[in-house]
Amino acid sequence: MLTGRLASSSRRVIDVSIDDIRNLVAKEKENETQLKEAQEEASRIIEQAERQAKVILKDVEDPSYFPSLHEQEIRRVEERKKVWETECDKALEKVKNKAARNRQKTVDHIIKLVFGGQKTNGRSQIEAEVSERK
Amino acid sequence: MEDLKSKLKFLRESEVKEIVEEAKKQAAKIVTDAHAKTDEIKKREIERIMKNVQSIETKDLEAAKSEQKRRMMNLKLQLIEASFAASLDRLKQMVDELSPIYRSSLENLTVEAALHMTGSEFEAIISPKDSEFLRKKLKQIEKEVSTAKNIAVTLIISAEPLRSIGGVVVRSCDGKQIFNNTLEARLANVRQEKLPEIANVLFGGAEP
Repeated sequence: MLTGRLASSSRRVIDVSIDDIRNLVAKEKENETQLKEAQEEASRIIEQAERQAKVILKDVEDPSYFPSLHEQEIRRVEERKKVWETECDKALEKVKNKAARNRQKTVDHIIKLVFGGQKTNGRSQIEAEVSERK
Repeated sequence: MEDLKSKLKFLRESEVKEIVEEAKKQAAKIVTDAHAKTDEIKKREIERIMKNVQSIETKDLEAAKSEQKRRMMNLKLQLIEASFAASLDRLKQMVDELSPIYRSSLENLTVEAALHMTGSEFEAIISPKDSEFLRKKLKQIEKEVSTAKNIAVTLIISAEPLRSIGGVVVRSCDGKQIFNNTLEARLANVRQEKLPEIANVLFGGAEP
């Protein structure tokens, strides 16, 4: 039986037979297979992650994603504008109604001003037209 | 020997485990980076869109506000005009009905006109239907103006009819001066001088 000496990591010298070496080589081959399988597993994990990343990025890379947001915002602005215009129409209506209620009072006031400011108050109140013919 | 084998097995298993762990870490980083990239793109695009939309919104709302101001101003002017039109109708009605307020004002309008002119001889141009009334008041008006001006003033009724709804035009007898105190002239002056005051009456007051 062939024998040899091997140094272990603990620096012990051990005796090995050729069969041991053969066993070790066989084991090493088995381990290489395991390593290869591990590398394949690693590749699968990374590929899966890349696929997942693509799915994550798909939304923002979709050309319709942001235009739809833009349209949605434009619709919001349009809605706000409509609301504002409705408020404005209401404000105009209020002014109309108030003027209708105050119309008589205003006419009375104008008449008072037309007939007012005569004699002593004179031009300081009502500036009537004076023209001088040359 | 068995010890060596088990150590080799351990080392190999560690290496295998390390490869898979490393792959998992890389995978996690790829996913995290994808999320980060997505967030970054979203943030950037949303900021760009919002800025763009905000600019449109500001522009649109400014235009709408200007339009509203214009509409409000036009409406108020229309309503003021309607009040003046109604006032003119009321004045015509007062003249037609020989309203005491109008008659009393006619006297005052004549005095006011004469007081604002120089000289002592005047003629009053009035509507034919007012002539009889004013003729009766001539002496009283002359006296009032003479006292105020401290000179003897004479006033006659002109043969020329007044082309106006009412009021009076006083002219100096030499024709050099003329004072237009017709109701239309006075209404025009009210419009020119008192528009803010009238707007305040028309649009002011508490809500019902």
